[in-house]
Amino acid sequence: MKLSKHIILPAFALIALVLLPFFVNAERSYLISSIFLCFCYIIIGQAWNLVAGYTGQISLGQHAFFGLGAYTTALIWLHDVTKTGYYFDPVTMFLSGLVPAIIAVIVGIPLLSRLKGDYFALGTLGMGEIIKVIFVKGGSFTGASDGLHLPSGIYSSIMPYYWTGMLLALFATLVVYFMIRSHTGLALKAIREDETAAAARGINVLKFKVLAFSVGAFLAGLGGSLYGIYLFHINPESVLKLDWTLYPILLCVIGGAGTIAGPLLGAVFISIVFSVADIYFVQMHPVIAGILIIVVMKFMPKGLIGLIQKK
Amino acid sequence: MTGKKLSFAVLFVLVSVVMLLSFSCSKEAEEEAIKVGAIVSMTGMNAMTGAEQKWAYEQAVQDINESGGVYVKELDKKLPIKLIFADDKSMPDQGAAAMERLIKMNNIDLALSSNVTPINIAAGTKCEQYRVYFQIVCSWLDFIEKENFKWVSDMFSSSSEASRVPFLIWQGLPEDQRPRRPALMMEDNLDGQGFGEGFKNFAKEYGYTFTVDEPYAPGSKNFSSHILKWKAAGVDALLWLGSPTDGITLLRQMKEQDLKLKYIHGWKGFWPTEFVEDLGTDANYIIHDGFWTEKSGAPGAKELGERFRKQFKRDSVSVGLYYANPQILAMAIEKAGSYKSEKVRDAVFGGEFKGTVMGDVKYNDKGLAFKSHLALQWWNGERMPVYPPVPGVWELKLAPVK
Repeated sequence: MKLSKHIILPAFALIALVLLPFFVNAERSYLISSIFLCFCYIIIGQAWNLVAGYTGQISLGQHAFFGLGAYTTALIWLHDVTKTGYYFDPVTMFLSGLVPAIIAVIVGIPLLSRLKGDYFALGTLGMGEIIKVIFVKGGSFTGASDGLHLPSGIYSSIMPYYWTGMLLALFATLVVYFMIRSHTGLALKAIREDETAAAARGINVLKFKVLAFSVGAFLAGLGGSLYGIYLFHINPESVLKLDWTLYPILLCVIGGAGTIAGPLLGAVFISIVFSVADIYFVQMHPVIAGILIIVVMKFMPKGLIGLIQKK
Repeated sequence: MTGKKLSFAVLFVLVSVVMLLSFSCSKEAEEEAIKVGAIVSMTGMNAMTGAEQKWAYEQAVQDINESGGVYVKELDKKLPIKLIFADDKSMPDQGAAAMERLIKMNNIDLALSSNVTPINIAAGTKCEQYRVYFQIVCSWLDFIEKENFKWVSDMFSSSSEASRVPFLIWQGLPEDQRPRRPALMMEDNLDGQGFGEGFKNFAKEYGYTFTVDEPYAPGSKNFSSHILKWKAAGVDALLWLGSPTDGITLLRQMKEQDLKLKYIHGWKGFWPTEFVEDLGTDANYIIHDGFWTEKSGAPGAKELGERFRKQFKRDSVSVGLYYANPQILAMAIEKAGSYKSEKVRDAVFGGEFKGTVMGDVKYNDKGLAFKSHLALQWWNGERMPVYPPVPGVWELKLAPVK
């Protein structure tokens, strides 16, 4: 019974997603594009889930890590740094996660050691905006507000995006899953519940908070890298906008923060809501999407995951 | 209770999926029409100009359809245009998403643009991927040219040439009336820096030197230091770029401190109707930028301006540019004899289209059509065309200084 609930259902869903492109006209299917975006939401959702949902540190600077990932990919590509092909290149993608992770360590140590709660949230928001301004003012190196243009002629199919998005979403989910099931996860949850008590039990609070913050930044950077090569035009308005912090918060809260399945359910929910609202309520989509989200929060305060867990 | 909620959630997902599927299937049953997708900023910071663009597109398509539609030679019949809008939310990545939705969900034949360069570049990238012809207006030509698009055309000015306009106006003045000691004041941001560089380059080319060149922080409330410096330096002309609020504050303070300049030319902040409503006759002599004027003498321009004014109780410096976009597209379809993307694109690239509300429009082989940035002078609440000059309509008036 337990096996069917925890393994068979996700495995079945995964197989269905793998096979789906073979049953639709993938290149012309809006469904495939929507699922690709849903994968991006899952990646950034799991990143925020690790930092805030499991560690209790509300980061409002995820858009900076997402943007840094996109810009790192573009800069490596345009400056021919690694000479590894760049388009869906694993090395470039790894570095696009690594750069935000390093920045997260550098910024995280002073922020996480000095600031807590709302103050930490505001600190990360400030960091995000500073990074955005740096890119806007970065001159020809960052392309300023016009941004960087990747050679879009290389595009031939949506399928590499779909598969890579799926792999990265799976990777992000597994990273969070295994971290949470390890001693690290216990430490993170202990910090979330009571920092002082965790410290009294010998947990190096700062170390684990910085670890979660940087792993979250790494995952957000991977998402940014993938989104960057999807857009081909990386500019601050697209990849450094605050939405990339708000989306993961929204989907974690709707799905259920601090759970593995929560961001998955939340990502599916907001993808559906956004798509339906965009298509059927062209000029009113923010209102419709907002009402639906309020309805969910009013009647399901623990998020969608609460429905399944209570059952 | 939880069971009910779960049922509600399942029902929601099912209804949503059915809605999405029914939308995809409904296109099969639609009447025969040329499906033209248009991305427009309906929400977000660009929504105000987006509303003008949407109105103009709707008016143009309505006029085309009321005249019987577009003649498609390969079908030997006229077809109506069905215009389908998608909101780009005033953001480039959402512009790309909106275009992808139009292509895949609505199965559009051809596409029309938004009015912001980065949004159109992002959407253009999608059109290149799916080989759908995308007709842009209102995006800097030099930026679009850099993209080397094959399925995208653009009608507008170039960012560098837009800064040339004041110098062309000055060259047209008698020698003794030309400014001797102009000042430059740009808001300190990317727009200001970009335009500022352009002005400085053209000043060199035309033999001018800015006596005072000082940027200002957007949102400033006190411009006394600038005004004092201009007074001390004997400045006689000003090129300015900023927001409407900053512009109104500056001009009021100049009046309070009794500084009169014979030539004031502003970008971005001087054209909104609110500007002249606030300043009244103090706005007289002020020159502002624009993309279109109903006084151009182009066919239908005056009528379009009247139609806009009747509906919105104000005028516009841009609706003609937007209206011309579906107009040109319809002409291109007739010229191509087909509404297939490839054929329409080939008809536009290197093509000439006469009698639009923007006048005659000629595209080069790269699909770029240059239209000069306009200069218009406020006069008793009306905008009068200064550049390009429209003979018999208006001549530039320099402000009396003494």
